[in-house]
Amino acid sequence: MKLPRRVPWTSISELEQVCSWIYAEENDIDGKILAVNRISAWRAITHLPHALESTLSILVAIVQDNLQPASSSQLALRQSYSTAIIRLVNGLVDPLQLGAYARSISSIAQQLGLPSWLVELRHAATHEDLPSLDLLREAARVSMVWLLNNYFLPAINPSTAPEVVTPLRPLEPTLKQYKHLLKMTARDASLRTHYAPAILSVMKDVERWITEARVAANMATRDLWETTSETLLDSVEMDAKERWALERLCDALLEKGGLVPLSKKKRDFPADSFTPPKFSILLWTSLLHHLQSLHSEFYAVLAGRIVLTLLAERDAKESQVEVQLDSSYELCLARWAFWVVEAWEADDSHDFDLRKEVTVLLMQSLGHVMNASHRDKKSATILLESLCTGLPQLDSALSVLKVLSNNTPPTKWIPEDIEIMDQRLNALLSSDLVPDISTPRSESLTRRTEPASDVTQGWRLLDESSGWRPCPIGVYRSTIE
Amino acid sequence: MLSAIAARKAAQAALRDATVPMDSQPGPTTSAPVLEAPTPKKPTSKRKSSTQTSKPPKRKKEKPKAPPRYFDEPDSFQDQDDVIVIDSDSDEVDEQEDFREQPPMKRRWSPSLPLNDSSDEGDMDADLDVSFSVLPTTAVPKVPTTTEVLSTFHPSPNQNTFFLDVAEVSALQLESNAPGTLIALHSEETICLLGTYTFTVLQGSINHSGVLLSPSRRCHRVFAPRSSPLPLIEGQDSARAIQNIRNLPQSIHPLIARPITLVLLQELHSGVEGLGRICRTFDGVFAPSRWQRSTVSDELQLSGVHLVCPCQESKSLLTVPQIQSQTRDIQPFELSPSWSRAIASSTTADLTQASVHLIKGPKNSGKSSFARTLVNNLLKKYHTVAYLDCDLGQSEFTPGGMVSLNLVSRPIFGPPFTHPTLPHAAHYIGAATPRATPALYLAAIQALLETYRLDIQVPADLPEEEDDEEEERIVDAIPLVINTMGWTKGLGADLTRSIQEMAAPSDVYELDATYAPPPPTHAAPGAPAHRQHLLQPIPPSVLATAYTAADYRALNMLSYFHAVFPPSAPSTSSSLSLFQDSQARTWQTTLPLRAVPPYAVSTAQALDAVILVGAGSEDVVPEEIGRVLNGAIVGLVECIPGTLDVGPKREQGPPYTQAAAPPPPTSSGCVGVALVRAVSPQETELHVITPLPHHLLTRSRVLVKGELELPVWGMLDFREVGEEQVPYLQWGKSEGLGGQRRRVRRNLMRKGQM
Repeated sequence: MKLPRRVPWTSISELEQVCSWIYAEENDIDGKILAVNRISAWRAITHLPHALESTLSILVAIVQDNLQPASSSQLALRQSYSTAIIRLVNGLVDPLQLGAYARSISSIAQQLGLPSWLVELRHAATHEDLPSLDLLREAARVSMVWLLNNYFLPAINPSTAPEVVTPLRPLEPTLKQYKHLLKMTARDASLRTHYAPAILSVMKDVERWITEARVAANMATRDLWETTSETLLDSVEMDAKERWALERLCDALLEKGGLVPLSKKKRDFPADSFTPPKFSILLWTSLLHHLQSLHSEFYAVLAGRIVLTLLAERDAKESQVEVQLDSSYELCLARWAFWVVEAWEADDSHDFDLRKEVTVLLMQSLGHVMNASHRDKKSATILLESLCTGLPQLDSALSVLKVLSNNTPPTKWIPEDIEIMDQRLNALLSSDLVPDISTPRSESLTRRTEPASDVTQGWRLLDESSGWRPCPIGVYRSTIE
Repeated sequence: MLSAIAARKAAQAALRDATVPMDSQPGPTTSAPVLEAPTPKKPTSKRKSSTQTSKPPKRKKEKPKAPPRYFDEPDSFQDQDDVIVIDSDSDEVDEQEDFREQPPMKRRWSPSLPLNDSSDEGDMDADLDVSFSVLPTTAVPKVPTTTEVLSTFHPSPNQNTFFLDVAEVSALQLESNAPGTLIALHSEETICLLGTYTFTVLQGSINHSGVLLSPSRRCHRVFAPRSSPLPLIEGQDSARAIQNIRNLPQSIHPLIARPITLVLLQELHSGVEGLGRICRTFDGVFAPSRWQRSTVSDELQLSGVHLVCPCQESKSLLTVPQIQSQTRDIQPFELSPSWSRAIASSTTADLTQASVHLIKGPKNSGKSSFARTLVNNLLKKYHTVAYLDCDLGQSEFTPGGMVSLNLVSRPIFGPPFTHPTLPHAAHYIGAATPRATPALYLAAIQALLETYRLDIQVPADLPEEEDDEEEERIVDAIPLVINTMGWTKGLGADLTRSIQEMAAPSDVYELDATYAPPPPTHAAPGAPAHRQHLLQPIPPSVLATAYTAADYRALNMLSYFHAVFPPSAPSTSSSLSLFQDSQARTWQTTLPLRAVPPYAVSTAQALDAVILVGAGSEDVVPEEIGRVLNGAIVGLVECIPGTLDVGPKREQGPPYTQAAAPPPPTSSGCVGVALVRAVSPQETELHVITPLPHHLLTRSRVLVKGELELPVWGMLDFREVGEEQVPYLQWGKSEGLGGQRRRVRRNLMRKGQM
């Protein structure tokens, strides 16, 4: 069950009001003081979202700047501004350090849309000289504008939130370099140690790309970290974004030139087993193993993407020639899928039965398709068959499916069908599927065993007679005295 | 220093065959006596993936045998001495032994060890609390070497199980006259029950969750949910019996005066199961989960009690994988030998002096369990035991946020949320960790220790005589058990050291064998010597991953608000008598909090002061106090009149002064916690919900608000499904960057850390 979040305001209009106090006029100090008081009160109610906390610190610095007499020390003011900006940048960047290794703050800030000179200012304020007051005032102004555009406006008007998605850099150059390196080492084994560090750096680049994709996924859903206490939800959310990133990676891998060799000549398949060409395996095994070791779901995602590609509906406009080419491409993909499933099972520690899941997916899509595009999915059918061979359960399921797909479904109801359905219904009802929920004892456990008039001065117990009705926590319902 | 990549490969290799733990990284917890099984250990794969050659992957065409589990060791495992094979049912041992090896990891394994910043302990959101070590063998619980069989008792009606009706039970003149089931346990036979029940020992003696109980007419209430280790009842040899044992029906008479233990089990209806409907995390926690439904039996014919055992017919289901998972989320309570040694030595020591026992250790090491066991064992020798709870987050008797001194006179069986009790004395700190207010925290503990020494250690009034067949218990001295926080590093270590110095304990129990004690420079010469006991912490269990500390805190709070405390008669003396009953027996769980009629409190008449405590609270101006109090959890504090500096009186509204100091613990005390569910528009009236009995409300005229919040579960209406618009709650994701609370990762590595 998805829980709501605790927010410090009763309705979003309060946030709107605070926003107007802050931003309506540049030089309105009273509005800013009101906002500071209000946000401080919110701070005492519950934990604030990070953007509001940074707003509060910057506002306090601005108010202090405008109210203080000119003779007192400016260093305290500069420190106040600097701390506010440092905490703003840190708080935005830290939740997006999603990889195993730290990425540079400037790279994450660039994805977020923070101006780079703000990050430099943050570095200077932390490690070098404290910046000047003018620069800090300008930085505060820019930060407030950034917060307005990136937090306040989307929070108040969720539908008009602009899409802040920086496009991911393409992965093809990295994959090309990887292929190049591996080809050289495959041909000449002695070069292996020579190129080992280069291969390692290529793999780390792929990993970095995946991390960037995850950050982009986070930003696209605008959901940096969930604050609910449901731990299951956390892990599911993380997996969803990582899965998205891995899916993008698999899409790049599945392009022609990736897992499947570009030239048709190279797509010669070994006749004895249902595996991809030997050379392809040599090429890609190490990268795939590396990725699988880092992301335990990688093979599952890859197999899923391949199956989806195979099952995709063909566009009617494609010409016949392309269809011819595609068939060997699809066959190669099917063999890769088989290889992936075998590799998954070789690594014995997974609970998730990938073979079964892929088979189910294929059966679901193929079994019911009666129209002409069925024959286009030859590769998918072949894959299904090869997955099922050797396992009696799946074999029998497949044979049932084949029988079914040959039969024409009955087009009219016959009276005996009703009886069959009745029998099934009775069988379902009689089986003890639903455990009896132990209802709470009906003896009404009264909360107040003492008379209500017993309470002392100032405390008065309300009940139905005083006109009180159940209402949400935080809502005041007036009563008759 | 292993590289991270190699570490991951090693971890994956280790996950595949979680055998003997790797000694290269001493984890913070060591387990119970380790297996000496000569299992083949897969060598740590030191090869880096970069040098992985392009040889084709090994095709391990392993036909999936049913089921091919990595921990399916050869019989050398069963030949160990620690594995108790009872009768010839070695199958039961096999099937229950080890799903605890692989806890249901709801979270993906993260590759690096979170650097334990000391303030980790005070983190309110506990999602980062679970520490996955680099080599996760320390996170994977070891196969326990004590008995894995949960119940060896097989109920067979009229042989060892008898059903008594009301007339038969009342003939025994016990505390309760409800019908029940009488079971006969042979020596060393165990029974494991899930649910809520009361038991009475009629003959013989039993060992129930670490404490030996002898026959008496007293009914002990037991709450055994799945979210805590389940207590085992084990029969012991003893020849005693209660007075009216001959009043049992004739069919049972052959069992009397034999070395057989007779225990009467009765149903317990308290409404506590309703808490599972309110807080969905713990839904159905008193009933078997769906995995176990096929194996638990209802042969005891008590509603709310489930016998956890493999039934006779389950032998044929051995090949079905589901049966093997029947212990996936059940953890039996096992008393480690170091615990029993320590308890035995402290309870047999010189008893005429009231002793002070201090328990410390890191979080999740079993401090609370040990404290409960110690209290139960001390209650066999003493009539009353005092319990000083210094843990603000997971308190034993209070909803959290306060340090409290409780008096216990009956044994406690069950997790903290099942026995909310009104404290004898308490001070409200307002947060789940003393990180923000360490001085106030220490002052409060100091005040409570003073209270103990002056009023309780040698009690002024003695309890009423209870007529039972137990041995004479000491009534003129009350020992003290102190439970500290699980925060063992940094500021927490300092605070615990200060507490130890203030308390001058006679026994110190430390729950971490590898924890290095601080250098003894702090020990002042001439300090009274104390006995030091080093204890084995409990091994990590599946429960630690399924229920986090934040979940328990939420449940404690909700249990407090739904509890029905017994209304005590206003005593003639101004102070509470020491021995009145103040534990909640039942819970009101039919109405959510929003439907409970509140008290209307007039701020002018009933309140002297409203004080805010915590970081940033001094910035709240008086105009905003109404907004802050709306929906807030406050502590009800009574102050000795004249000791609190109240600022200038406001003309209307709650009497709040900005940046007021919290009430000093030496002249104030907290009686309980309340929820301000609404504030009137003119701020003249507050609607307050609190479970406290009336006489406590009259005395509390100060409200203190800290950082505690009502859990979101309490704000929802569990009777309705759907997302309604409620103030202070927002459904769905947050919009905008920076729209979430700040979260910090403490396990981030840099590029140079190869």
